[in-house]
Amino acid sequence: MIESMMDGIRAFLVDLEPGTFDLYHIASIVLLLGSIPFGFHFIRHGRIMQDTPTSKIRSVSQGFVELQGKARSIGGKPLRSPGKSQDCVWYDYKVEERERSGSRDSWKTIIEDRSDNSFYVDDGSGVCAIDPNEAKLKPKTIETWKHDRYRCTEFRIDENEEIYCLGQFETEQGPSRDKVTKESTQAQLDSLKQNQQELLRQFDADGDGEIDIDEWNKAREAAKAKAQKMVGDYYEPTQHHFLLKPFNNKYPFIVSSYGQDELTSRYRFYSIGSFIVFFLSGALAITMTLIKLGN
Amino acid sequence: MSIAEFIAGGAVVIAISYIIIIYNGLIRLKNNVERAFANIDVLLKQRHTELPQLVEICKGYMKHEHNLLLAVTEARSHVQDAREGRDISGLGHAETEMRQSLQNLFIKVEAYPELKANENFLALQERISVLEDTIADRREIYNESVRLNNTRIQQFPDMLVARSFNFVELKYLRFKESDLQPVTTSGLYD
Repeated sequence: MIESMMDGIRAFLVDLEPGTFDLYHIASIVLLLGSIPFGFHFIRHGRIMQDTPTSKIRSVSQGFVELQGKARSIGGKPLRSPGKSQDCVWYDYKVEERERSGSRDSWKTIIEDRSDNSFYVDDGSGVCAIDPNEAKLKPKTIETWKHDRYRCTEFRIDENEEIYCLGQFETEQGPSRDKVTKESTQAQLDSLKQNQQELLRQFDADGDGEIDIDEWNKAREAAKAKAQKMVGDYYEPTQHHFLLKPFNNKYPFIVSSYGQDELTSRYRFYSIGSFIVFFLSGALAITMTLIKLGN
Repeated sequence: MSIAEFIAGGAVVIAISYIIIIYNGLIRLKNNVERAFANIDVLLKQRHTELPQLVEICKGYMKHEHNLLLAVTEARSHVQDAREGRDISGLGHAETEMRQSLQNLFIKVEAYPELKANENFLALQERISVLEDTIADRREIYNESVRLNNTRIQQFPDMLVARSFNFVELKYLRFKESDLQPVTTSGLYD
């Protein structure tokens, strides 16, 4: 059966026009060479997903991490998707127009709108900002609808949707309590220097109309004590977490509404598909090379 | 080259590449465990530095609680020994001892209002409680990394590569269930 199928394919290829034959030949070689790296890329990324433990944002260390949580808009103001007017954290919307060329219909994109606002993943222990521009986004919500000769497609990650993320975790620290205390002390002293009357009223202990070194030290201590109290009572050092593209290009930066299991099954399917393409395109390329060589 | 030769050659190339991917994956898993332990270790070191200050402040107020303070100091030393020797089982026991001794100390502090009002003590207590919570979280990540490593090593075909290159199962860092409670006194008197 395989032999008769191969004979049929061979007869089909022999009958092709020389130009079309060369085109098929080149295409088969490109597929042959391209399918193998794709196959291994999907296997490797699938294994990285399976092998990376899920971290909690509040205690995660810097580096390549896996996070899971709800998608939340920054500042609590969700985006409004342009097509379906839904609250979301990310969208990719396009409108295509049908064009007739001969007997075939084709679609030409006339509007493309992709949101580039950052959003948070919130796992209950903390939030981490994600810049969608460099990430591979895999949204679950895909809506397509037609209107006259237009076709609209909207990809969306909705507000509060569960998301799965892989990427480089980085933290930016806000100023420390010490730094804020020093700055606040300095600001008070600067303000006193500007207002000599107030400075004399508060710290000219001997009433000679001048501030000597001891009096100035007292002013400094008072400013420091006030700053320490203020910082102790009201200031909380801030930390901002970000999920970025990994420094090592072999690691993926993925934000997906599909869970880890769904994604890894998909990647397994893609890798098997790539290897099937590799064998089929290889068989085709060899057959065509043999035909070309006259064997 | 015939199609049969191509298929056989292709299959060999794919098999060799797959073995390389498995090997690199096992190395990555082992490194994940190392990294997870290093992330706990850095917190243990931090706590190791903070504890003497805590004990010193408490000594000034808790004149009759020598045994409690001694328990904290001993637990600190046991954690340090286990850490330095990379003794995972020993570290689990020492951490359990540490959490119990700290919990006992913080409960006893309630009987010393002057100590409770000491700002340095409060700041240290807060820092140590936060460290304990973070250690507990990172222990989960460590154990998850160990689980992923051990599962891969038991699975086919990874087990063939693991056996050939001596990849071994790693130990979990276990605390007693009762010690997974946060080390604070809040809620005790509600």
